[in-house]
Amino acid sequence: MSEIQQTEQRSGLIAPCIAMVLALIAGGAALQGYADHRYASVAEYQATKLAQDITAQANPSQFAQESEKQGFLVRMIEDQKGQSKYSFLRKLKYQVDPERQGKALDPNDDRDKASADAFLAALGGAKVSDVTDSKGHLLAKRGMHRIDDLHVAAADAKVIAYQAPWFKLLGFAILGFVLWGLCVKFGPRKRWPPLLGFLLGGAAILTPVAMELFGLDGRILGDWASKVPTSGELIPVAAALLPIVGFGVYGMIRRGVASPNRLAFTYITPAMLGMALLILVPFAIGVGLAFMHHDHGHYTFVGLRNFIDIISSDGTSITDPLNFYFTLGVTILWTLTNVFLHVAIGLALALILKNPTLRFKGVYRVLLIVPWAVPSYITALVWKGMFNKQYGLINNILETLGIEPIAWFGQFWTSFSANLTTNTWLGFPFMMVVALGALQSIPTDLYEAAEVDGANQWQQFKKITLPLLMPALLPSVILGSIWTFNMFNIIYLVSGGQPNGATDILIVEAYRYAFEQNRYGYAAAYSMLIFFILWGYSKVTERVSKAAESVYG
Amino acid sequence: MRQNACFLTALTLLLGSVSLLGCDAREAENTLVIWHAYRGAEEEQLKEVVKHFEEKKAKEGQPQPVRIVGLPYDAFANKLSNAIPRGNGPDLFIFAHDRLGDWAETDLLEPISFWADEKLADLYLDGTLEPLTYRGDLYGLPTSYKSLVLFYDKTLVDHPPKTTDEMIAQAKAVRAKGNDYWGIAYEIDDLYSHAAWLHGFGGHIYAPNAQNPDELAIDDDKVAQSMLFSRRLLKTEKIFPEEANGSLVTSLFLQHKLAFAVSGPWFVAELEGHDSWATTTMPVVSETGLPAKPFMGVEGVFLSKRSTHKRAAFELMKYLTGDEEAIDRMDKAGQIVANRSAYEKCNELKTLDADRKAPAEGTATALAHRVAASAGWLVAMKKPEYQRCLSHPERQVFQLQAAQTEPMSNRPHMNRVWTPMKRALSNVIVYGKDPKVVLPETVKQIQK
Amino acid sequence: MSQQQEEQVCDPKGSRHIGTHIFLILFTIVTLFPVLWVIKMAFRDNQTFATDLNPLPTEFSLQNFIDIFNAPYFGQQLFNSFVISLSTTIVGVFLACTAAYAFSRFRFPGRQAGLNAFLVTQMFPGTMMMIPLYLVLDTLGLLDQTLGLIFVYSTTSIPFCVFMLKGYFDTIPKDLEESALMDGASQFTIFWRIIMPLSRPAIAVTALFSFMTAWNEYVLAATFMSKESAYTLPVRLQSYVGNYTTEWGHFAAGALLVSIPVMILFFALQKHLVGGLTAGAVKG
Repeated sequence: MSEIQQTEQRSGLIAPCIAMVLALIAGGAALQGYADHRYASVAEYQATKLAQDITAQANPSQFAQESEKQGFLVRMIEDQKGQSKYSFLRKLKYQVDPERQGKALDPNDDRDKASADAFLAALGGAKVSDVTDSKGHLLAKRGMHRIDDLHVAAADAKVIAYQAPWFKLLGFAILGFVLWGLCVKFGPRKRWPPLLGFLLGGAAILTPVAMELFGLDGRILGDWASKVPTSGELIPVAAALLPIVGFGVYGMIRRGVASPNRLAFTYITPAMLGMALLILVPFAIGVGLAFMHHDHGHYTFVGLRNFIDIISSDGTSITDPLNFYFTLGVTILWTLTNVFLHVAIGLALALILKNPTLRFKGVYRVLLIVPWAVPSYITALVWKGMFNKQYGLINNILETLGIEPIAWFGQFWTSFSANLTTNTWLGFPFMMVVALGALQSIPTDLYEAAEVDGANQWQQFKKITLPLLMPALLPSVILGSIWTFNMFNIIYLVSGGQPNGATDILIVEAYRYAFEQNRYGYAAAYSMLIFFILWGYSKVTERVSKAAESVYG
Repeated sequence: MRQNACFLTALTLLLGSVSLLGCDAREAENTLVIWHAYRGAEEEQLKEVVKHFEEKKAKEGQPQPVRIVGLPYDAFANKLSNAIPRGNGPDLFIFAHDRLGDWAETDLLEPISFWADEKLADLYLDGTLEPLTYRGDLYGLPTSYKSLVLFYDKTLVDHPPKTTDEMIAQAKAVRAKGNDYWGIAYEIDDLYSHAAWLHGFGGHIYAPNAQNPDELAIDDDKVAQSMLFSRRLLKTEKIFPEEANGSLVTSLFLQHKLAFAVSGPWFVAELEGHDSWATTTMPVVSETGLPAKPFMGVEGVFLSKRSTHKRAAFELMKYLTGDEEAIDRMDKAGQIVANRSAYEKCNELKTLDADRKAPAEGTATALAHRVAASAGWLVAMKKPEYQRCLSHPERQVFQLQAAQTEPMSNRPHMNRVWTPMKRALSNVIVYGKDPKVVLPETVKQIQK
Repeated sequence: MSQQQEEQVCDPKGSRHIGTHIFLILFTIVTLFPVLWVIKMAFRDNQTFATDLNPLPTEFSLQNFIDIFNAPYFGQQLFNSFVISLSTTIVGVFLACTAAYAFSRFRFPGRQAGLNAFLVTQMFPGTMMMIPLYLVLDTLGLLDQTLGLIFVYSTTSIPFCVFMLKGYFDTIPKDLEESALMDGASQFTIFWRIIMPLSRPAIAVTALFSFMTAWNEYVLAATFMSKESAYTLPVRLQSYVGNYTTEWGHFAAGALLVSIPVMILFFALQKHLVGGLTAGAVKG
């Protein structure tokens, strides 16, 4: 490939990337604003309608049952006497005249009727009234219906949480832009398919903005507002984006004119499609989340604030275990040590166990993969037990050797070693299996030749095994380091971050934000940073693997 | 190429059979689905209760099928917040109350206060409904509740301590027996356990009566004192084993090497088959004269916002927590039930016992009363429903302790407190840092 | 060569194997040591966590295993696990083989980008993918479906499989294919008849990996499946872990049961892992 072509390609990729980020920010903000507005107006419209309906209903209880099927809750209240001792039951009950307290309600008694009247009046009369929370936010619309003199039916109409479609729209918009980027890169010379992709992707974002501008909200949609199916909204968007997918694929095939290329695309397409659907879409949603602040199911667009918060680390010093850079350092140390130990032990065992003259090698192999086979949840906790100060085996051994027992989780280094030991134990069998497989790629005649040349074992390892093993082993090392970087459960289970969160790695922090604190946006931003760090790492390894590839030419 | 076609056919067949696997017989349209994370006896009992409910409804001519789904505890909360908004969730689910605020705010739950009345509310022990309310609405009905109490080994401790000073003295006496004997153990750096002392020293997690309901009261002298008290147990008195966790507490206690354990109803199940232990309410903190108040956790049945059979679901809710099954839930599943009626017989027995032991004033009527009470007590003792009160004295203790608890906060931001507080506790108690330095930082971490 | 090897066995030099054996035996003991506690807990008739120093079983009760076998839907869940794991293995390995072959043998536009894309998918933390994945599966109507889990697991295992296989394919000499191509074989025949059999070691590794991906996974399975009859074994196993207490006896027994098929599979695969036709043998 000539240099000109390469630069062309690269610049061809930058434009869609920038467009994607811009679209992401603009689209996220617009959709959020639109969804907020629409949520409020749809809720108000529907609630008002339901409350009006119930005041007009002849048989509220039947109406209640029917509404319930649509997901509304209509509650009936009847006469209630006296003050309740339960504060949460106190509302919506009317207090009867003190003199009538404890007696059966009598429709002929004026005092009872007056109590009922006063109650209705206090509720806002026989019409529709608002139910608000302490901050004055509208919670529901309440309709009341006087059944007879003493009995009141009331309905609190509160719409089901309106599922803002921005989540899906955003995901698909991003997907659209990614595909557009692909179209630009690989598409046919003709300009219109990428242009169409751009227009459709833009439309996915602009439609809600336009609806907002022209006031096409729940009030005007009227009855339609309640009928908008939540997952159905996806279908037109998906349908609109399908042609882009088609054109993209078509373009790719057109570009790869020669038959081997067509075959190549046929070979990778099934795997790629699955990946695109199950990983790209969630990934796009995750990217969107990183720009959001999450508060109890409600997302607000905050731009780059999450990232700034994390990177500035709230001004904590770098020695503070909660500092981002401290955690990053621990993560890198964790990854390096683990991968080194996994590969060293795994490879050493594979080299020993591949020896065809060794007896019982099959038995050893099967026994040595036990740590991989047994669910790590329990074995990690067994390891934690072995490091316990009171009953741990390791301290017991130290004691018999006359060494003072150690509180393993009391200091950073010991706690880190406990994690490291556990994870090394869990991880070396996998590397051993991979190395066993990879060793088979080395032609045995090379060793025979080396032996003839009088090379010793170490020389053979250095000159033959290691370089020739690289292409088959390197992918596992790279992936292994990425997995270790994101290895969550061992640290969570063994040290739990002790002491003072110092042994936590980035992913554990992200997990704590997401699932212990429900700060999904912040956690997503954390994950994005993890992603960027690993991406940088993979750029470095790309060179190494290219070199490895060239071993065989 | 033919081989290739064969392979593809085989693949299609496999995938075809796979897609068939998921298909079950269609269930009735009005089936109620209930999710729970119970295990063992509690799960069996839930099935039993639901079976009775179905039978009852069938007898009334309104068959109401119910499907019970057990979930791993780990996956429960996430699964709920994924499934309910998308309409894939259950009608009802059973879970602890502490996430209630979060669920209510995210619109996962339907409030039930409109249906509930005083008569219904009176079915449950005092204090077990409040944790199930959020912003003035009731969201669930309580099945059982959990709080910590003080377990003690009767072979090591002759009488239950009334105050912490007494408890420490007893613990020190046991500790003196040998290097592997310990005074008291629980998870010392866990807020759930520490809360008892925190409240006993007059501290709070959230400032009571504050303008802003989310105002933290952690950076406070009383909280610091409670932490120093724990540090005293561990470092000064050395009656507390280092790195104690649930497994260690159980094994020490079973070996009669531990005087006191602070634990909850689940510990009773672990001690099954062993005797010579007893429970008592948490002692009064000598420094303040206030009782140590552990957290109260209520397990409730909650109604999903997206349920399409809310009325029927509410009926099942009432039945699950109602009088009919309360005693069985207590006896067979070992739950400390929230239903009042389950304790009535035991309370009757207690009254009879008190009457029997009441000092006779010498008058004939008083004497007669006492004789009658004794006779009544003797007769009652023979009846199975009274027998079970005697064989499970710890239930009385849990009931007594319930009056001396602080409900675990159900506000949505509570989940941000746990991890920072755990770090603060271990920093102060285990690593000896100054609480005056640690606590302001903890508040900052929580509010971040 | 084989003669040479036989000689080595009788050869005094063969005595160095004794040292190797001693090392391997010691290493295996250390490796298996923590598992002894698991075995101990599995055969005890109580549910507490073993906190004693002695890892050897002190009692022998099968109660935990009996409880597990008698648990409702056990057979169904075992069956689910097998179907899902085997399908994942077949689908994952098949798709990965074709993709890896393309990446290894063809130079087409977007090749490096495609390879990177596979790598990139591993970088975004899996725990954060769960919620969006739920949305995707729900939209596709694959929740509560065995097929949905197979789909998810296969895509999870594909990136590793592609990389592993591509690395291995790279080491297979191209002249083999070139001569076959000259003989008039189609690209597909070459792939199916020459490359696949030669890559048995790598395929064995990826098959084991794919199987394990599906076999031990419980977070996604517990989130996506809402019927006890549709659970996999790891989900059942994880439900022994409660909020306040864990039934360690049951968990340990279940953990042992779950690991047995993995060992059997590995045992079956290992002859391919090391005994396959080596590239060198063909070349020579």
